[in-house]
Amino acid sequence: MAKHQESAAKQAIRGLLLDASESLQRGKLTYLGLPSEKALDVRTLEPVLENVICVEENKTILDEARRSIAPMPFKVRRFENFRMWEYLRDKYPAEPLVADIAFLDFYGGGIVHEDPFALEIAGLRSFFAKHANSQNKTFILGWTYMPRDKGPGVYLRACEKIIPSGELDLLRRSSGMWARSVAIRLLLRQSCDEHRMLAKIFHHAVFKNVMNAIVLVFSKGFDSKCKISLEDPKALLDAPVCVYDPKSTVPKMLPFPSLK
Amino acid sequence: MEKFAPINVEFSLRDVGSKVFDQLTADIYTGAGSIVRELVKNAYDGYLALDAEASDDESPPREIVISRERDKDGVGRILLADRGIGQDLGKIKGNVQISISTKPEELEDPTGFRGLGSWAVLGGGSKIIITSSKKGTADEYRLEINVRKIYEICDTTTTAHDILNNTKCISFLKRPCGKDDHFTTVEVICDGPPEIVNEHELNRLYPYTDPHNPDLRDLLVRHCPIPFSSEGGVYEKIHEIYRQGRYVPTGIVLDGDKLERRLPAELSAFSKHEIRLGKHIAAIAWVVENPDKTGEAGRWIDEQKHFLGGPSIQVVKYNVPIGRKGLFSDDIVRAGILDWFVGEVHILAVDVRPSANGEELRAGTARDTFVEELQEFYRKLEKSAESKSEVLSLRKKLHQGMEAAAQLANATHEKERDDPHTLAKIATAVGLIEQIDKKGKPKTESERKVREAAQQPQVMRFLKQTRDTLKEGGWAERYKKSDKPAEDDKSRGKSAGKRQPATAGEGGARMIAVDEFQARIGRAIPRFEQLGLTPVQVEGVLKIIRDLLNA
Repeated sequence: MAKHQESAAKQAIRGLLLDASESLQRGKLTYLGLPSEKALDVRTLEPVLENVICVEENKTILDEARRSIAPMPFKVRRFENFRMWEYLRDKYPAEPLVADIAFLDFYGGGIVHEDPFALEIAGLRSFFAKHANSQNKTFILGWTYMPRDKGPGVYLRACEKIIPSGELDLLRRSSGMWARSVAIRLLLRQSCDEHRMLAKIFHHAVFKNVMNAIVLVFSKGFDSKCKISLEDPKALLDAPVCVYDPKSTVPKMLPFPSLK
Repeated sequence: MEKFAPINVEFSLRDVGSKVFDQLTADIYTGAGSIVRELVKNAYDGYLALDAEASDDESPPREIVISRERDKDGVGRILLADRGIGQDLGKIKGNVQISISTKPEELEDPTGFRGLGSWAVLGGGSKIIITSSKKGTADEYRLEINVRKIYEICDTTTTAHDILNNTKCISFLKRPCGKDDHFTTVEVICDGPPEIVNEHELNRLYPYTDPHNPDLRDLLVRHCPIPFSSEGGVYEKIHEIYRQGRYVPTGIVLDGDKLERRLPAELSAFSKHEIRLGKHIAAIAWVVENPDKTGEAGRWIDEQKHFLGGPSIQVVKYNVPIGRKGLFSDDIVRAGILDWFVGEVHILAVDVRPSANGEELRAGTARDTFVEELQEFYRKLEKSAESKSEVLSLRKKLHQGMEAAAQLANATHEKERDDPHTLAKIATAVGLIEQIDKKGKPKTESERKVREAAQQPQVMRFLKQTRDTLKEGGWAERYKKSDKPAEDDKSRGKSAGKRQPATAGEGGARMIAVDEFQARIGRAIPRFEQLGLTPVQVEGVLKIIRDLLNA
């Protein structure tokens, strides 16, 4: 049985996703994510969900998640035994449902592999392309990641393939834990730009200087029901970071490294 | 001579053949319906125990959630989950024990069915996994039953020990969980279509694992305690009966849709009945019918909306259906007559219990006495249906006579005034009023029924009005029974059963007596049935013939 990194921090992120979901104000929603065996994400979001799409490479974990979700009265339950990026690239486009909330909670995941990057980036692009077909509707993307990587060069090489060189200065200047965060924000901004979407970082949390969690809210067109005001994707690089320091009872809001 | 001396002989599970599991269950739980019912019942019982331990915590919704899927390899799954009290190790172990308990009352679960634990559902799949955590404990337990393995090794030489203590057949697992977690999930895994392994059938639930198969819903409707809506009105009365029967409404959700029984708007006449054994109320029945129409209630039922499983009367205990609808009604009442109603008989008597397979009542004195009273209740319903038929028929004819008289009163052409159909309606109405107004005892059964029907409020309203209208128009005088009907009148005027001699009519046509005609029709009835008509359809044909003759 794979270990699951559970913590108050994770539960806080789930709470944030729930808050963002409730701001959509459109009734019951569809979830897409990598639930663990105990499906804590789905459990937290249960009050706002109608359908779930669970993607997990490990069949045993997927079977356990299925059992954990069994008591919840969802209309559609899908359990896809795939790697998430492969699923997003290959299967998600044909899925009739569109995920209102996607939570990419990789265990030490995110952009990890040196090669091939094509899979992860293709997955992300496929995700945004599908959502771009839904006009005037707001969606939520949660992404947790840890800086378990092989160095900042890994992200730079990935981003160079799709982001204009002039916009990569910030990434070139970044190092350590921030490199990954900058790369991810750049990728998200690029994706939103390509599809002319409005977006906002609802929250970016850093726990114990290690675990990052971004909650992005985005839409193509204007969604009159959503209570969250969205902006030009350029502003994604300006959104502050909320740092949760174990030595302090109150988190700190810090500026995100900026191109300016 | 040497005498016998006692010796000590002990028995263990090695002395019990493994076939006992299959024999206990396969003979009792033969169909998918009884397997599904057992699963739902167990989930329901989990909530009962939770209610008993109710605390200040916010309770989860009281639901049994059923989901299913078929994966790309053809493996099917049905999951049943509840957020009842959950099971600790002792309870989860009890799933594979048979009839053993420290508390005698636990041998029968609260819903009154014999507890055979998970053996009851064995043939449902190839593997059964039960996962549960009991409220207040920080442990989650799992019981895995490998049905395929059990059946593979189950033969005349295998013992119960070989099964129960073989971890390849039955295994227990444990992991920590939150103390507030409480749930039970039963997963029936079918690794393929139904299959015989070593003379035992497994994967019986496989067809129902297809999310597109509507039959599972029909199984649930037929076999499981689906509650009626709680919207109010007549439903409030049904829920009151639930309270008296100690059934706590528990929702069943299938593939995300809540199953809730509802009544067609047309069945608006509600009545409640007590079935007694001596001084005690053994059961409470409720019934609905259409107050203005006769015939099968099924024509107003839309199963997609109502989830009734058809018309007729269902016997239940703790809202769990027992047997088919109209149980014990064969040869007691006219076939199909109970289909004029929708209703339930909720058994309250503790000693009237369902049989092990849920299709009957358990044998015993209480059962026999109860069945007699139940059949009396069915007869009462039959009588009420017949009476309604008479009432509606009488009301219709009086109304038609009154309308016909009004029509003729306004008629301008002679042709209209002599229209035989209109005159016949008036004559019929006059004849009926005469029968009603007669003094003394009724001479025929038909007359008795007419007089009885005339006492009903919905007829009395029309009666006075019709009587006055016909008297005003002079019709009462014209069509008095003592007068011979005019040649061009096509009025009925004769009561049933009165002998009329057969006479030859004009052109060689032969006339026959009424009772001879009746006898011929009676003899023809089996031929209708041979053609494939149901008793209700045969009655429908007879009614058409009756109407044609009356017209």
